[in-house]
Amino acid sequence: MLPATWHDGGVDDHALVDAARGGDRDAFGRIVERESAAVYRTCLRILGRSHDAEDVTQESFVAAYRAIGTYRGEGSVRAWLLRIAQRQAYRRLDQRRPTAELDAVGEARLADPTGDPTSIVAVNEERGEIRRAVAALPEPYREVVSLRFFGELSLFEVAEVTGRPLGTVKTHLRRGLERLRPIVAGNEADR
Amino acid sequence: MTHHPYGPDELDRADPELDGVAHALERYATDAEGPPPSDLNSRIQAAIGREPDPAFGWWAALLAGPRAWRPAGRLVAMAAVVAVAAVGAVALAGIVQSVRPSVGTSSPPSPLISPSETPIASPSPTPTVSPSPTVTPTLGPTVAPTPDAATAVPTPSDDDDDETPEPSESDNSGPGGGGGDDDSSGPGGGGDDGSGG
Repeated sequence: MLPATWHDGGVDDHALVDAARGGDRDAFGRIVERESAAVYRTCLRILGRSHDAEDVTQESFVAAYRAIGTYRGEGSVRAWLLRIAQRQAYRRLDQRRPTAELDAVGEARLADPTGDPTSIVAVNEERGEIRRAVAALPEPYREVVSLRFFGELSLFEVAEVTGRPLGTVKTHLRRGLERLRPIVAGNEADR
Repeated sequence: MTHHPYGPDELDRADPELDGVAHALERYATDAEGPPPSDLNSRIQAAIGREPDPAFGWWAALLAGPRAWRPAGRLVAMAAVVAVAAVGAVALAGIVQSVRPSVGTSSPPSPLISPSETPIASPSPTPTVSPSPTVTPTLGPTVAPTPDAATAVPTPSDDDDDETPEPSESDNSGPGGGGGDDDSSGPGGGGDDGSGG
């Protein structure tokens, strides 16, 4: 057992998970410290709104804590957490009211009050289109594209955490990108 | 900045248009980056602190839902297939055995009848008696009329009411049913304590 030693640092994620499984909440706290930024970034890219991303990040860690007994060490802890987080984020997106994108516009304006409102709206609209296009992808393309680009995982990591062969993941990525091509190409042409 | 920059070799096929889509997604990811609020970790820790201890083993798998059941499900499915195959084989063997004598000559029918006669004689009393024998054997060993159970059947049914107090005593010593319940209630209570704490 590791609970007495992992506090010294330099302990790998699997040791932290083992300690957390043994009831060591501090070990799970260490995982939170290590991975919360990556989980938050992924949620923000999917949801587009910081307060939603915060909520979903928190929900994702709670869900991961509840399910930590099911983590079998297939892939990194980060990949496992990001997979949980992206599912939670898309669930939140499904529940979101349709006018929420307007809030995101206002949020972008607040983030850069000196910017030109027109360009802010245009940039925000473009981001929203990419977000919506990825969210509209059918599974498993959405999962692969999200984990690869929003979660910044390598294809090998995506293959590990999803339990699919690397070749299958590559195929899913290619088909996902093909489906995104009309939207993204349209945005590129507008630039 | 991404941890794993996209490379054209990821698609196993040269397609500049798809590379462009991938780069657009990377740009979006970079633009949509933002630092998490400083109190996010403490909020998460507080939320975790409110959670009970996580479940482990099969209980965790049960809570995790059907996707986590896959490995266990495979085992159960395999066991079910083996069990069905075994039952099927036994049933088939039974059918073959019952069919084979009827197809044969006059000598096989006699074994067919003789087994049927013996069950008819003894089982017809026993089903009606079967509830009472569970009680009577407790008395039986002391009296030892068990061989004549078939003849003694009608009278013990009247004695059942009288004997109901006695089986409770003999149950504790003999079959172990009551003792088993007591034993199982012990660990169960312990489990409750454990989960509660």
